[in-house]
Amino acid sequence: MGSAELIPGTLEALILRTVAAGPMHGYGIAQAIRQTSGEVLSVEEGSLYPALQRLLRKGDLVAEWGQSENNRRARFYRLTAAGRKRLAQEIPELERLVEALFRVLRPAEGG
Amino acid sequence: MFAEWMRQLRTWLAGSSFDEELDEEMQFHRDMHEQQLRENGLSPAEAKRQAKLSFGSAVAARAESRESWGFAWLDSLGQDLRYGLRQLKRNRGFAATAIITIALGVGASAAIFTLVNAVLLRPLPYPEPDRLVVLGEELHADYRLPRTPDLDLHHIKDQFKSFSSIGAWARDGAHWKTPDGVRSIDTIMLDPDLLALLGVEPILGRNFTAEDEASAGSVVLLAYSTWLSQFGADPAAVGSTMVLSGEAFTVIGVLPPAFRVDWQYSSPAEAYTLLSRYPSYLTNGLGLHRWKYVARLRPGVSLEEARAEFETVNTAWLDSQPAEMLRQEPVFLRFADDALGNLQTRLWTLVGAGTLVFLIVCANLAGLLLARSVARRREMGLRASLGAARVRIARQLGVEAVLLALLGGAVGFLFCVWAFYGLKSVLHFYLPRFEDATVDAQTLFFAAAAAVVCAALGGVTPLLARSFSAPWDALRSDSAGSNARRKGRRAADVLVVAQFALSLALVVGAGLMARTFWNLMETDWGFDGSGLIAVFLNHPNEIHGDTRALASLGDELVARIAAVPGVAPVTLGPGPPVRGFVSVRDIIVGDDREEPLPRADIQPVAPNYFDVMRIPLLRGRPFSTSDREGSPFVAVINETLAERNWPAVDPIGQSFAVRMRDDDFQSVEIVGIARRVFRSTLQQEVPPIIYVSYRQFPVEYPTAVFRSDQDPEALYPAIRRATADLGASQPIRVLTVSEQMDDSYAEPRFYMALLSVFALLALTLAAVGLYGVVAYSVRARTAEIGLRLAVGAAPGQILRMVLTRGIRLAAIGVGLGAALAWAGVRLIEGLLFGVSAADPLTIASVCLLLFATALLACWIPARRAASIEPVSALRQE
Repeated sequence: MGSAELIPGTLEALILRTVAAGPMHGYGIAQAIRQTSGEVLSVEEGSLYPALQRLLRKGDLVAEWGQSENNRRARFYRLTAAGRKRLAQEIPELERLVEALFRVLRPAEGG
Repeated sequence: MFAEWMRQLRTWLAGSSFDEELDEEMQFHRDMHEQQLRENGLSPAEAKRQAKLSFGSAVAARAESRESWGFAWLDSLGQDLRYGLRQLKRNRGFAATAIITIALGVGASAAIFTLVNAVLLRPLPYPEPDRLVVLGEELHADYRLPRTPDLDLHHIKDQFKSFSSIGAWARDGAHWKTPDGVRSIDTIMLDPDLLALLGVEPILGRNFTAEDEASAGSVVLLAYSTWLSQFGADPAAVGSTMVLSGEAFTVIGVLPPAFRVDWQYSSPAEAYTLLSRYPSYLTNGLGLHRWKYVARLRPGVSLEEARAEFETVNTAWLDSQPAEMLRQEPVFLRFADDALGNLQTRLWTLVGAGTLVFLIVCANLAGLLLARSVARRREMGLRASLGAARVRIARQLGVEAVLLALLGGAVGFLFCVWAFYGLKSVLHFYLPRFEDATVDAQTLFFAAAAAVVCAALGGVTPLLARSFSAPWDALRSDSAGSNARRKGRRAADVLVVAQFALSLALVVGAGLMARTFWNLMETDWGFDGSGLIAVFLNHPNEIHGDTRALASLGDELVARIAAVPGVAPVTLGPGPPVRGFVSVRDIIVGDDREEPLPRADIQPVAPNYFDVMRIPLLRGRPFSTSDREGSPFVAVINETLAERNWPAVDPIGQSFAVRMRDDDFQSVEIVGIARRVFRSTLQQEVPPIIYVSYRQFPVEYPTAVFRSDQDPEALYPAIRRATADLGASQPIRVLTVSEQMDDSYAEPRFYMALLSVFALLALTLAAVGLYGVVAYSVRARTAEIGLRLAVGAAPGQILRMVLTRGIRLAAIGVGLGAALAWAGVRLIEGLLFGVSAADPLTIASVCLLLFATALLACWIPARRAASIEPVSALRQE
């Protein structure tokens, strides 16, 4: 079960996409990204929390303290309207990027 | 962008809770992770170990999280601020000096800004005030020639294409009979068009109507303040009757509180009547001379188009008049310029003085900061060599300058509030629109901006002088040869020179105002005003022009007043020169009736008039009781008239003719020549005057004048009682002449005082600045001076050396300042009296004063230099 390095800049989009489903705490976000990516993408604490703070600063997320599923105090992140807008912009961008990667890695047959 | 800054700032201000929350959050993360691992079947110990592996990255995450907020910048700014505050606390003397300096500059300039803003800059309270203009004619003070008749704008006002409406007004006075007695009030006669074009509607009752105007109705509109003070703001005032100068008027409305049109007068009119009631309205029309015409430009018409049209119409009118008459050229002014124009020179003088003080303050602060940055070169050098970036050090200095600006600005604002209300309590008598002026947000904004500019100008100087540029240089030695130090000193020298130059200009201004005031006080009015009291009487209209009736009314007035105990000889005349009634007549000198005729003031007086007023007769005799109806008409003329019309011959015994009415001239013989007497303001020239006997010419508005050594206030009741039933229902006005004379000094006195305060401030600042520079250079050269003394220099030589350096700086400053003053004082020429703007005596004595100040400022450091102990000075090195 190996984990892949992320292309720089994609982490924020992944976080936004994940939180779009509903408010989540940091650990929950990391778990969700890992599970959804089929255990391929693992998000380290060391990059998750700075990324969350960057998103807070940009106003894409807001944070509030709440109760976790095991009744502990945890900080939950919620998508703002601005964050939703950014997500809508970044998904097509990322898709273009991935497509481009594919084009380079698998040159057209018969070429 | 702004929202992001706010989020950033809010999070930063949360301070330690930011870290705590992040720690708690990551602890939660690790705990959850550990639990997960255990659930996956790891032993508790192994789970704990694996979870802990991520701890290192957690520390990094915390640092990185802070960084992702861009806190590093704010954190270091916070450090700089704390460091700066510590520095200021440690150097209290420096901090206090700098803060007080900034406060003086900010306070003085903000107070003056508030004043000028309230009086000159804020728009007048009418809709679209910049579309209003005033139409008039230039008035000639020349008495010799008759003027062309005024253009009767009133009857042609519909002909103008440029103006949507034209309205006229003039100030008048009335006697208002109230239950408490008769009050003299100022009124305005206006036509209803004026109120309409000024966009004013009564707040109570109705406006003047066209029917009122056509029928010249006896209706009156009240000023708001009159309604408040005289009617107790009773709405029933509308519809009530007001007896003005013996005639009943119906109050039809009350004008809004802020309404005013007569800005030229010190206090606004109290009631408004119709212009169509003016007696000569129908026969003579309404000329520009007596009436002020206000016009509103039609939409789309430019000021220049309107001016061109008005001048064309006026020129055509003038061309149709006889050529020998004095042409009264048209005057076309923006309403605001006409209303407030006479204040502009005065207020801009204050602005100029305030700006000079502000610049001196900036230079002074720059000198202070420069000296300090030089003193801190070792500290800065050390920081730089320990790795602080130059930008960071520059920012440290910048932050300290901003701190000073904030503190100085805050103190300065308080100072401004104090100064402004001080100014207001004195000045609101002379300045319209000042009563409702307050220190407001604009003042605060101005003060903040002034503080920032002051700190920026002051703070940037050390950077320009690059006194901390080379760390190795700063650390290497303290020798006077250091390049950076020399640069710093040159900058300080420049600043001192600038302060002296600016101060000189201000002190010259103050000196000229002081000379003006002195001249005013010293000027001989031509009569003795001490203890002189005037009692004015308004005669009934029926006896207007009736010499005999007026003379007997005057005699009665004199007799009644003479009977009051404590009253010395009483005389009769047209009033004292400061406040008299003036009637100007054409005269014919010699046989040939030259056209146009010269003119002179005519003043009917009683025989003892010259005696009581103490007006010396240069030659000839005063009037006697036999100069009466039936005897030959005689006159005493003043020096001005004698020099004008009889320059070569002795006027006594000569005859001339005075126009009585229409083409009826009365021949009179000159029996005496009286000295010149100043009339209202001392700045005016003395007009030609003909004194005649009150029994031969009608004495309009007869005024009794007497001298008394008693307190005038104590005499008033007795005088009022004695004269109560004289002159029908007209009130009697009593004035102390010397008070009237003093009043004419009050305004120049005030401007002199204000300029003197500014000049003193400037001089003190310049002296402090020079002292700082010289004292610093002595301190820096201690070793050198010690060496000089050790090798045999006399202390006197050292003293001279230091003094010479200081005086040389002052001399350059004084030289530049004299040039500046010479160019600048022209601006205040209009405020001066009896002294020319380029008065050599004033400029020379001010230069001397500045040198004396410079000497004083250098003396202390020079003495210190001369008394340096060579041995200890050398050991310091």
